[in-house]
Amino acid sequence: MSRSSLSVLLLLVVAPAVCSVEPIRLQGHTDNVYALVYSPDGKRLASASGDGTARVWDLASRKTQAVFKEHQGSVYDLVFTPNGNKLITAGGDQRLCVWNAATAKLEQSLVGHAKPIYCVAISRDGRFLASGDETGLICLWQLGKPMPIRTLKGHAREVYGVAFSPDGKLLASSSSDKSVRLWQVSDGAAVATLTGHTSHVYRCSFSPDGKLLASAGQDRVVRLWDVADKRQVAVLQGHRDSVYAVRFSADSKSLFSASDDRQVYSWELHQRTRLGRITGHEAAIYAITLRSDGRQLASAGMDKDILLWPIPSAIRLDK
Amino acid sequence: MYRFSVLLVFVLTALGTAAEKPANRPPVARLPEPGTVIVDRDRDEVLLCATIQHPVDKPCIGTYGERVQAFVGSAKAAGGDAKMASYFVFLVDVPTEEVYKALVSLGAKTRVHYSMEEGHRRSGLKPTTRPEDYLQGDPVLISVFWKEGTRWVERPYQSFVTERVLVEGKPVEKPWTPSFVFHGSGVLHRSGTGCIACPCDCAGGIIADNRYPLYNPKPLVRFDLTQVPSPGTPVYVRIRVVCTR
Repeated sequence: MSRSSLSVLLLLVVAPAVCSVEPIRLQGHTDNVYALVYSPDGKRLASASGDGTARVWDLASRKTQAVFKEHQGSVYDLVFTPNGNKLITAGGDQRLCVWNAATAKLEQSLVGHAKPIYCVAISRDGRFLASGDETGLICLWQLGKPMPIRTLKGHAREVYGVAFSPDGKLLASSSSDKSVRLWQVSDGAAVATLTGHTSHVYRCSFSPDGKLLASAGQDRVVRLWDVADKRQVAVLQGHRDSVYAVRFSADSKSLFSASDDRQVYSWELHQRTRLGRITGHEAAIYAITLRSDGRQLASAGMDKDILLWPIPSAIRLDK
Repeated sequence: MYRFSVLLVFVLTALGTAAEKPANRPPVARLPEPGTVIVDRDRDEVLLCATIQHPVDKPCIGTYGERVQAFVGSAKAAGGDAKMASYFVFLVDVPTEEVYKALVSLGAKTRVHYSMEEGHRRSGLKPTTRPEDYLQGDPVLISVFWKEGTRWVERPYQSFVTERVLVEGKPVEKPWTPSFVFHGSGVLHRSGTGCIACPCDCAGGIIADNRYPLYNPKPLVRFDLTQVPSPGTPVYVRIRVVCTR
């Protein structure tokens, strides 16, 4: 066991079952916050909102560093490039926008979708982007090129989540058509359709070790899929309403899920049991993200504020 | 003159008595079966079956807040589960599309409708706001009725909700006075939310309060759950439309 894993485990064991940790609150958005992402160095956080803007927050000063304002409609998702220099946003105005992350200057608009774009992902090497829209269309982009290099068709309804596998060979997509699909990035071939969810599937996420894929559903569960076998291996139950977001820890040993029930749940993946919950939002939580060192989690949603939680002390352990 | 007055009082009393339905009889000639819609062309109204939910942790339930989700909505919409089903107090058992079709079959007209994205682009009351920045269509009235013991109870949609306004910086409670119009956006643009009647001018549903332009400002409203039966109780929703002909 690594030193960091041991310290996390120790903290979990010695932490009181009920602890009240006040989160850091970032305020500025005036509508739902749909997505959050840390910069690769963990010093900044970016947020996408229904108020038509994205924001980059400086986490040391807890202030907005830049506001990104060109979208004509909601901003639904966003990613940093691996070097942290660019921010790419997905908008209801059917555009992907590539920005200078420091100056908020729009560098490029990527046009290829004909309906609102709900999700965007970037491969770990920064070469490829993927985006999914309201019609179920997925576009694959090569960063720097203005048009999609490939379109992936198969989903019958809105695509709410896309994620690249850590090795960049696979793309996962999750959709309102109740399915999660796997695609080969090299040629766009459909690899598998993962069925099991009984309603809309929102965001999906690969574990950093590439072995598991998690999907969040309106059916109130998180489903875990074995990537190699392409089969469901677990259903994480407990949320009382739609689950909108999932995120693995950096060591792939735990997972966080966020729901319309205003809770973030923490799951231990060896036993596949719930460790505890993080409570503080006053309305549905649409987005969570975990800093790369695993020591801070950001959450946001319908109540517009972004909350920053220390991990693991913010987790109220189940008795 | 005195005899005429006595006669008038007698006639009005008789009319009033005749018009009042006995409380032990349903307030409609025929109740819809679960999963069906009754379209009453004589009365220009649509009758639906619904079940009570108590979404206690959702906005505007028991406390004042802003809310885009309807209080009455369908469990299904756009060919799937309604995305906002867990927010509704009155959960209707037919898809929003069926409610839309029923209202259209009565002759109800939609006039201005938008996708939610277009709605957000037109959002807010500004110096440049135009009439087209309000969802528009024929006006509707909504009520809910149910059996309480042997007695039938019917309440206007408005009676479950109070509104708060700020007067000289101080909060003042007032009756909820929405202006509900049938715009049809949620079905025409396949929003999938399931919302039927929204407490603000929201393009996700099919009926909205268009006192204000799209989305903003949103009225501050509070739904009083003590005014509705317990969760799981079957109720009926009546939507009456004033059709432009």
